[in-house]
Amino acid sequence: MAGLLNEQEVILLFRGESTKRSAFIQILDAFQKRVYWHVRRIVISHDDADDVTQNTFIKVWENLENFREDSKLYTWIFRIATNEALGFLNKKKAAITSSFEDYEHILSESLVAGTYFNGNTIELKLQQAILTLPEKQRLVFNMKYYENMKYEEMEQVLGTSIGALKASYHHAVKKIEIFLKND
Amino acid sequence: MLKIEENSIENLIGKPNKKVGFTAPDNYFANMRIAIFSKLDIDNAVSHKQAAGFIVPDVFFETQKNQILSKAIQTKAKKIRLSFNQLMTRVATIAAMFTIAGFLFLQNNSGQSNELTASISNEEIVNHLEISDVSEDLICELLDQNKMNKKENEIEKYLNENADEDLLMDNS
Repeated sequence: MAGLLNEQEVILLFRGESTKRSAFIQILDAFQKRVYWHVRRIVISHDDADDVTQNTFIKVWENLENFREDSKLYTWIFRIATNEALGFLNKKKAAITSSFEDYEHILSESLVAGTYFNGNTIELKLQQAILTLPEKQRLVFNMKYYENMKYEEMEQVLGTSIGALKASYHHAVKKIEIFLKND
Repeated sequence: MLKIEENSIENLIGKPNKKVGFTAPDNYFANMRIAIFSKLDIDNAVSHKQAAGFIVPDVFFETQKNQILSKAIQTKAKKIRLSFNQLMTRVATIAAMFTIAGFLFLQNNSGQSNELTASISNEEIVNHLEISDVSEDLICELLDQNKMNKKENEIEKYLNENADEDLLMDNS
């Protein structure tokens, strides 16, 4: 999943003062788009995804020297990105507590009105169905369905057991099926 | 659970028919891979699958990359400036230098003052007081203000031991 990047080599380069920047560029080249799309499916809005992605990589820059290498660099970065995106969503939800609508409904409507969504009817329906899922199921479905992430990697990113992840994915699929049939 | 999902997919698309016995020309698969890669824009294909209807502005990723790099470098500079341990070390060094410099300055000045005082004789001081308009009242006032340290009994003891009684009697 980490692509052409030699993680250990890059981490070593990052720890050298003269090679730090070039190592970081390699990390950006390898993970920027994947992290963006991962975040985008959580926060939906392009501008929000841009902010969260940038914050994620700033944290990577600040903390990579202390990375203990007890997990893959890829899963470590995705864990930061997921936490940043969920933290961002929670702040947004807290800010609209006066509203009668839940935040997922607002996100669902923003798909139709948003500038940066041009999906066809099926893609739109699928996204709307995904937005009805509980947070954990939504994450697991996106990571499995769109990112082809292995359960072992998801376990490291989300800190949830493989059994629980499989159950979450199964429930998510069933709920999406019901949503699409009833719609 | 996964098996059930795989079975449901197979129910929809049918079981794959794994035929054996056919062969392919040498290097066929390597050449096919090159041919496919040349026909397809793999990056676009991958991003299309990931995007699932979402789109981004033109040259967004390049712009974002530059923004992240620029912010990261700023963060680095900021971190160096605000490094607490380094800051404290520098402050402590400067404070120590000022303390030593101040101490040496005061010591030198007080030495000069002592030397100057020692070089002036008592006669010179008396002459100066006589010539100048310093009144006795002013001297008394100054002495009161300075709060002499010696206690009265010490002064009395000194007078008893050292003063000439005749002289004291004459003055009184």
